[in-house]
Amino acid sequence: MFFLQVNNQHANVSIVLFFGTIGMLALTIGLIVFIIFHQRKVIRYQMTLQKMEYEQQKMLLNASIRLQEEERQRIAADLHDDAGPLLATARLYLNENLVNLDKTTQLQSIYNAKQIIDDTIQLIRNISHSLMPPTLKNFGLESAVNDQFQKISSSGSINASCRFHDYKERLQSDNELIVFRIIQELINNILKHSNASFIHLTQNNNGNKFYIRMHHDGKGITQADFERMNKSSAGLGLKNIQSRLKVLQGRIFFEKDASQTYYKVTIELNREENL
Amino acid sequence: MVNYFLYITHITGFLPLLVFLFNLKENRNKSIRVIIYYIVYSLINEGILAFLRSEVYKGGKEIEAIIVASFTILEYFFFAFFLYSSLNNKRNKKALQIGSIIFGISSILNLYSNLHSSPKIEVFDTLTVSISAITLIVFCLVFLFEKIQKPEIGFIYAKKSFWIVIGIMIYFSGTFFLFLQYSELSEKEQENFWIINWFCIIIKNIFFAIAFYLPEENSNSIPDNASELFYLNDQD
Repeated sequence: MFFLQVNNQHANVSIVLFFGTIGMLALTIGLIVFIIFHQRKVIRYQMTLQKMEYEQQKMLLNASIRLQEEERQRIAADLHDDAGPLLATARLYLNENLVNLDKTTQLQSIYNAKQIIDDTIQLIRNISHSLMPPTLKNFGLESAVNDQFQKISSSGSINASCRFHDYKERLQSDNELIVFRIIQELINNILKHSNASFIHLTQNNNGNKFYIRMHHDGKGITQADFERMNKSSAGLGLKNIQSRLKVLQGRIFFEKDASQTYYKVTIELNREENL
Repeated sequence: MVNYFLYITHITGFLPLLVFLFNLKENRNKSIRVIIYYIVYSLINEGILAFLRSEVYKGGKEIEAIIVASFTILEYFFFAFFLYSSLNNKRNKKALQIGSIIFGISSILNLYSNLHSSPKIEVFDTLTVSISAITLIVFCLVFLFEKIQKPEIGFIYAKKSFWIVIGIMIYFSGTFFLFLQYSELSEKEQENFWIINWFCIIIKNIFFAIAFYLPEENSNSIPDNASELFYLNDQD
């Protein structure tokens, strides 16, 4: 209404002013609306990522708790089924009537009880070693892996070899244990599922990165399989590997060799963070 | 209708101030306080201008020109200070500093030439206001661009700075052509078109009031139930 009252000689100025103002306001409002919607989109994307990460962490945590429970059950079973009966038998040999028996029988009973107690000691030592390998604790990852591979190789069913190219500086002892457990889990998987005839492990450093690579000629998995299994409820061992690597802030890659003959698993760690 | 708009403009001038006083605890931030100083200053300025334009005052237009020019310069610096404290990028801050120095020098020179060199004193200095509007719009855009580049978990419209910036942007973009063409308009047109300025001032005051009403910007976090609400509301 007001804009219609302008004089004809200033009509152009008025038109520029009127449409210019409308245009500027439309541009500004359009820009503001765009920014709001863009930001909402970004937030929505971030929330989806967060939700996925949260679910992944929840899965890893569940896997780690389940694995811990399984380990406890195994130790409990070992103690209950093996150590328990052994000690009960030793107790039978050393009962109160022993003093009333003749000397030869007494000596025989004591000898038997001693044998059983020795067996029990060995059993407990084995359990303890499975919990924390003494070679790893005393001599480090290289010796522990060598030891493990020698044991596998000596079984005769599979050829296992390993070589550490550059391991002068040891990782922190806690981190060595985590890496050792990951290697154990990977070996376990290869032995259980791959039907491989050999496993070869190499260790290398490249700048700030620490690499462990395993080759085998059996049936393996690729990165896509690994990620799929990580997202599903299956693959407890793989989830355990993933959660252990998360502690080390490391990465793992599963791939098939370019020749399509071998499967490779590469573990990558930052040396500075783990030394 | 003109009078009606004028009254609304005057009333909404007090709105941000009242909201600020009502919500004092949530407005402790230094950059937010600058905006309230600007609002108080603009209210005082309006009062002075109303007195100078009344029949009681018999003086010349020189004082009115100085007061209007000072308002333009100070208004620019209030907003520039706010934007300076809201920007994160050092280069953008430096650019705002340089822009402000250039604006300051040019506006003072312009005022001097208006008062001493021009045959007729112009109460409303088109050039200064236009430079001020362009500079502030550009830096408001820079601020919004920074916000887009740095994704935060938290809605942009939940932040005080956003409402202040869009208030500044709408005010200056809405009045830009009016101020630019002001000297070209006849007195009657100036009177008619001045409604745009009032309209933009009303919008600006409402946005500033919203900014003062919002809680303090202290974190990037979102409320616990935000994601739930978000997922429920946005199904697309």
